[in-house]
Amino acid sequence: MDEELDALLKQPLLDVPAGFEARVMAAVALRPAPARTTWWGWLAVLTGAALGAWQVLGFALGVWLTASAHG
Amino acid sequence: MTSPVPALDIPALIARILQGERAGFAVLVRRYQGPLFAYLGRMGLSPGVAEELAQESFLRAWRHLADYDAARGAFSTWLFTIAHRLALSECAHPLRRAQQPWNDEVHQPACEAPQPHEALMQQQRRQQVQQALRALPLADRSVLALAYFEELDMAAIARIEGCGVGALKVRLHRARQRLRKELEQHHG
Repeated sequence: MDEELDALLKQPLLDVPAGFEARVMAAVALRPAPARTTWWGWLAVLTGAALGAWQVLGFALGVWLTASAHG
Repeated sequence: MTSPVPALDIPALIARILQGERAGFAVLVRRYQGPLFAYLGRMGLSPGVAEELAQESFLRAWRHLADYDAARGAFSTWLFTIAHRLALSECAHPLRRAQQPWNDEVHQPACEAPQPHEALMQQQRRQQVQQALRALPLADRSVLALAYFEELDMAAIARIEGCGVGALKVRLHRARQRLRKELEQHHG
């Protein structure tokens, strides 16, 4: 049974659909060339995240202050 | 799926792709599309969903190709890690999209089809195995799906699964037992 099971699992349960490679390459053609994420790229992401978090905190603080003033 | 393939210098090919030889990526797609579909089939995914995930795996690999480091592992391990995460996410949220029907008329294989009777029997057996696989817990399916791609050794599968080799062997043994039981109980 083990050999039979192995044989069953080794056979491809799904075949590659016709034209798959061409579809992938067509999608690749529409995308920019791959590029390594540089340190300034990460810096930009982190700076953006920090600024976003600052904005959210500012908004939350504003809501809290307004609610406190009316309470 | 697991037939021997000519040796391919993947790091050199990736270096050429990164220098602007986009067509080189087709060589990678051609090399790994079969194993990837076989893997997604063993994960119990329908042809339509498998195609979407396979395409997304290759596109993510393209996007992050410059970050691939051959010193940290084989390209196949890296690519299958991407596909594995996508497949686990898909299996964990099966209602995220409408289930696509199993219809081979809309999913013609690229390879030459066998004789009709043989093809029918083969298709029936495939469906039985897939049904049995889908009845297994996701963790079992996952480990079985990876274990039958010859290019991935136990260490590579353990890295993808995020466990030790010893634990992986135990999980694989149990998964095979459950699958055997499932096939015997429901599919003779």
